[in-house]
Amino acid sequence: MKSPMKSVSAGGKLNLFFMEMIIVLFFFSIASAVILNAFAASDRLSRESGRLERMSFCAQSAAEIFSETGSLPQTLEKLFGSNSYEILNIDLEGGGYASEAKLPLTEECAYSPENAELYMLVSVDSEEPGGLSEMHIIFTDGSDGGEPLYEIRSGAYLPKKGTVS
Amino acid sequence: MNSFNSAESKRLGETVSSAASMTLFLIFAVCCLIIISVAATAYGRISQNYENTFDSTAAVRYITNKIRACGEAEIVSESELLLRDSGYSTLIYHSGGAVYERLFPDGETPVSSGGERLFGAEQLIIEEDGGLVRITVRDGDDVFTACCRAKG
Amino acid sequence: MDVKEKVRKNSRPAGIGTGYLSLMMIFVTLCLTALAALSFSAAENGRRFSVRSADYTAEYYAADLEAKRTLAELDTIVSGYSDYMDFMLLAELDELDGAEYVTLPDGLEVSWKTPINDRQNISCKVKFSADGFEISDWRTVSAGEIEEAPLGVWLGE
Repeated sequence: MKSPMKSVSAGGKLNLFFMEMIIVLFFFSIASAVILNAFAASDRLSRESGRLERMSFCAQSAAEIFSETGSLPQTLEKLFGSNSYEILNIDLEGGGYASEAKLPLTEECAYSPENAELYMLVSVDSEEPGGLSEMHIIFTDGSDGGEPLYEIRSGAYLPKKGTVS
Repeated sequence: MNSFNSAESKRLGETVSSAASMTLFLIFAVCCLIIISVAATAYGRISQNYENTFDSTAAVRYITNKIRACGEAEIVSESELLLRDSGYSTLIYHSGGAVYERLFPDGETPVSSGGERLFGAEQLIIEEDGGLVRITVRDGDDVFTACCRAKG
Repeated sequence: MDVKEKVRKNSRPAGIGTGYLSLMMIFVTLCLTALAALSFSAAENGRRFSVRSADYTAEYYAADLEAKRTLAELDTIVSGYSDYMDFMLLAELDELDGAEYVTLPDGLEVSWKTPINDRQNISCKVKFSADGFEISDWRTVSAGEIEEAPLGVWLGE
């Protein structure tokens, strides 16, 4: 009488093991790829939020200094120190003036050195010296036509006879 | 004799194959452990980074918003800021690796103890800088600085 | 040969049994998925917090700029008059949306609010006099705040 118990030979077990190993490795590689993407996305999000915080603080400091001084050169000098920027002055046709500066931001102000491709564009429009001046700060990653990463508008009003404290 | 040799070599082959499969299994197990430990380290780093960033940025923003909403701000020392309002004043101070806040009614001398813990931070520096208050908070590797108009 | 003997004969070392690898893979994948989900959740929370904070900063300075525009407008109006009780001046101030004024013996005090968002305003109070203007109050207040509301400070009694 033949036994109802099926015995598997050692060679058969090995074949089963290797087949299982191949299947497991196949599924594991797919799962790993997905999980690795999730980790990479988390890391990217974490870096982005850190960068956004720094951009926001940098813009806040610039806006506060500007509202006290009303001058772009003084704001940039106080924020970054001297000789770290070049200001382009433009005389507007309808009167008043505008000035612009593009600053590559480094570790101390905005973000880590490996992500140094970050620029701060600051432009100031003013009807007349000493009147209401508007400052527009835009952070970009330097690519042409790229979306601004962060922007704020701020202002200063420092008339000759009054003070804003 | 021949059949005996064949059986022996077959057994040897199977033993080698078993050892190979066992080794493969062990390698797989070790790789899995390494992957789990790497993932746990990555999670720990991201989580720590989040906590440090949250604590330091929230502390800077909290103090900034408090200055904006108060009547008068006075820098008592490098790590103490007194915000005066009608009827009460608020002392924000750093002590023992955290930022604290305590309310005092008018007439009471503010002391930097017994306050409510707000955020964990290794260092808090509050300094006056030409009509502005510069607030710097450090927690771990993260250092955040922001300026705010001084009042009073 | 009976069954027992057959089994004993086949019980030579033959590597790892089937199923262990699959179990291990499932366990490791679950661990990794949990860690990845926790990391993503922490990073997403951080990003959401940063975006909200950065948006608030932008909103605050936009409102601050708007409040300064109002101040500039007020200054232009008030500087055109030497008498702060002048009917024309008060009529012009009445036209300014949301501005309230009080005439003082030595000047004029104007207050107004500029909304930052649904919950907060910038409350401004400026005193104009012959020497120019002086800002007596420039602070954020809650949109629905009742001013001079008692604060629950324990007085030690």
